[in-house]
Amino acid sequence: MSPSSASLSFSPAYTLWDFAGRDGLQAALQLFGPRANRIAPFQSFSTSWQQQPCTVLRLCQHNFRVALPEGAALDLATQALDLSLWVKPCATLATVFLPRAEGLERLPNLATTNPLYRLDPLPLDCAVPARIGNCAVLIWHHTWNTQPYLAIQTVTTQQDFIRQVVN
Amino acid sequence: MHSSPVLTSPYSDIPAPLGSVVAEYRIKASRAIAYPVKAGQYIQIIDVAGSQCSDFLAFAGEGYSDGLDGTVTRTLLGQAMPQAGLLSAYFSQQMQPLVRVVQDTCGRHDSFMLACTPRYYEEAGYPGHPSCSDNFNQVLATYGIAPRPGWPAINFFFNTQVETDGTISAAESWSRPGDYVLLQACQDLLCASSACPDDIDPANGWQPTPIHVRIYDAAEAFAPAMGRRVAPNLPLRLTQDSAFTPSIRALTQHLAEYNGFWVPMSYPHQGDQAEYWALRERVALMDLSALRKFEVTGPDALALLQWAFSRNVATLSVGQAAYGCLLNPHGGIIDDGIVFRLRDTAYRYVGNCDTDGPWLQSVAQQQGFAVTVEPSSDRLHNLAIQGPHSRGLLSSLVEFKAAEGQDGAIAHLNNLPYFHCTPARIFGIPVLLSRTGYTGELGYELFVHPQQGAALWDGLMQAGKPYGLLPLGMQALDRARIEAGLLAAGREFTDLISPYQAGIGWSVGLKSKGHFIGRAALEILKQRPPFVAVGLMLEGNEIACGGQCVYPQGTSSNERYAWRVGHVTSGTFSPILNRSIALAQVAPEYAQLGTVLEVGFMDSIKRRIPAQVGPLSLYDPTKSRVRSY
Repeated sequence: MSPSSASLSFSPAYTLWDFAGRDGLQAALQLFGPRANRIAPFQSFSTSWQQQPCTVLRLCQHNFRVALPEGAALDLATQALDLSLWVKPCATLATVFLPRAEGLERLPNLATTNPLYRLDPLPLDCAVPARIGNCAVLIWHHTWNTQPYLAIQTVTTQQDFIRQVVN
Repeated sequence: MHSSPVLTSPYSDIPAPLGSVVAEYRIKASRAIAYPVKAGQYIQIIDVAGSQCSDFLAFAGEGYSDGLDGTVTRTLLGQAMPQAGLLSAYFSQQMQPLVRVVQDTCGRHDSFMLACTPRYYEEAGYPGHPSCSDNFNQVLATYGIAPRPGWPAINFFFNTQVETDGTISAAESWSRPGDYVLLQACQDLLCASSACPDDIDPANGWQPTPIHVRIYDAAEAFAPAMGRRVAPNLPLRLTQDSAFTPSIRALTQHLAEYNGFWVPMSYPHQGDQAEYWALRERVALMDLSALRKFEVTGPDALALLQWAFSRNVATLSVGQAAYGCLLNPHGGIIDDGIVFRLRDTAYRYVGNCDTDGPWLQSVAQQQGFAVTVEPSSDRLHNLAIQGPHSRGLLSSLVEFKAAEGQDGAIAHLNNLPYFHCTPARIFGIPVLLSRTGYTGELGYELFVHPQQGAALWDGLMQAGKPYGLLPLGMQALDRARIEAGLLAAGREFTDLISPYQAGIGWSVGLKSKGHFIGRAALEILKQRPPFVAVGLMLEGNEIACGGQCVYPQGTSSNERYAWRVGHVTSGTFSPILNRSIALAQVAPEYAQLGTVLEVGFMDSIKRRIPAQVGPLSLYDPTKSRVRSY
């Protein structure tokens, strides 16, 4: 999956991978270091992996989503760990990037969340599951390769709708 | 039957209205009504005489096409019933919120069963018996809603329970006269309520009675609350805010009812991991106002505590405190808590239960002790400020009034020993400052009058910024206390569990004081408690939870030795130990350090995880951090 963007000027080229399982946290610790044990669900941190930029988003106790440069082979790397987990690229997800300042200002009015989460504010390295209209999205304010980005992840079939809404 | 709105409240058999009544309806016994409600309005469903069920339907949308759906609700919330607070909404088939629970004084309802049906009565030998479903069919026909043989309703006050074998048992309602559920409509609705006609089983106490419905103006703002009853002689208690809750609400909506208070579970964009690490590495602030405080004063105050409390408190100097438990005659733990000696004949007991005070009073009366026991929870709310930097933060803020040495007073925080307390001021606010906590870290607790609670919270949050202070919710606190081997009521102890089983046998003054409640039983139990508390370090990353069974190692494939040797009481993933850990209670023969046991997961046959016995406090077992200078 390659991200699509509302404007190329703020679009990093990364690929999203998901991994989860009984040993999901241990995989994250071994692959990306001890910071994986310090973030809560819907928090992220940027690091490097195999000398490439990398951002790790925690989705649950044992579930992680990772942004890696295109061509990275996270599945092969995790095979060597011999842990109980699955790994796969996020083939059904599209990412729509927004200009940060404008997006952070507009999203609280465009999207709704359940009361557990807040879009106002949405600090850096935090994500929030939300809905825009009837479309489920994950809004992610994150760093990748030292630069901050604001992204909306949604299913590929909804990306045109999301792009229309945010534009 | 559709009832006409009543704009006044002439009913003397029910509690007074909570606010401005828009309409009210008395549903006669064994009947039902349908009534419109506007978005924002409140619906109060009152059990007039007690033990009476009232089934509830709601419809939204064009032609009332989108009905309330219990299955959707359970699935979206992940719990059997909505409750006042965060997870309060009943949803429709289209997954839209229809009503929210604002208050509930009963706490026991049914969302699994149909409103009673003709078939139920027919199969019991009562053909033609009225039913809620038939009554609903009659009153909903006016609105063009097609009849059903059984309506999937929310059955308020209906006492059902899903048993572990899957059966759903039903019994007499828990509700008392005047108990109510207060809902708020999320959109314009047609609602229907019944006064259940079931008189052939205990559901309505064998005697159907009326139900009363009041509709309140949308302009009202009723605080969310659950009713809690803890003893026959204590009044219903509605969930309350502490002095700090308004400040906490500005930071998180993730609050839950705990022991009669709204407490934060975690904070958004922070999460329990960040809160946990702030506690372990820096400093964290938490609201522990749900603890109950009692002032024990008088010439026999010491005698009462020596009689009722497990610990020998005769050795306490003024300004000193001791952890222990209140005991019953068979050696069970009524509650755990801390006794503070404030003056020569004045002590404060801080525990968990409203019933602790009446219990101490009754013991004093039986023994003829000259002592008063006065609850002080309403004028003492408390914060805990815990973590290795807690002293550094507080040192710059605390003022001590009394001269060093006067009545145990101190002049600097460095001189306040573990389990000691002193009056002090922070931001000019008088507090009782104690070096106590529930986290396994160096830390302090601050007891303050509620009127000054918000100022204290806000000041500490501000002053804590340079120290990396974070507010801490109950989820992170639970991780920390399990790591530290600290007990939770209902999990590690009950009134059927002795201190020797719970792991706090050291707090029993068998050798250091004379007779006290439970002593005879404890002398026997000490020889061989049926179980003893241990810490378990599990292999792998799966998290154990309370109730899971513990087995000897290597017995999963051997039927002859398939018996249990204990059970897990609490489990968590320890971030600092990077492993799954648990507190468990196991037979003494299996409690030696290093023993490898197995924790059963799922049905205990599919998978068992090896777990090594460790100290109860798996984190910092020598308590060096809480005692550190």
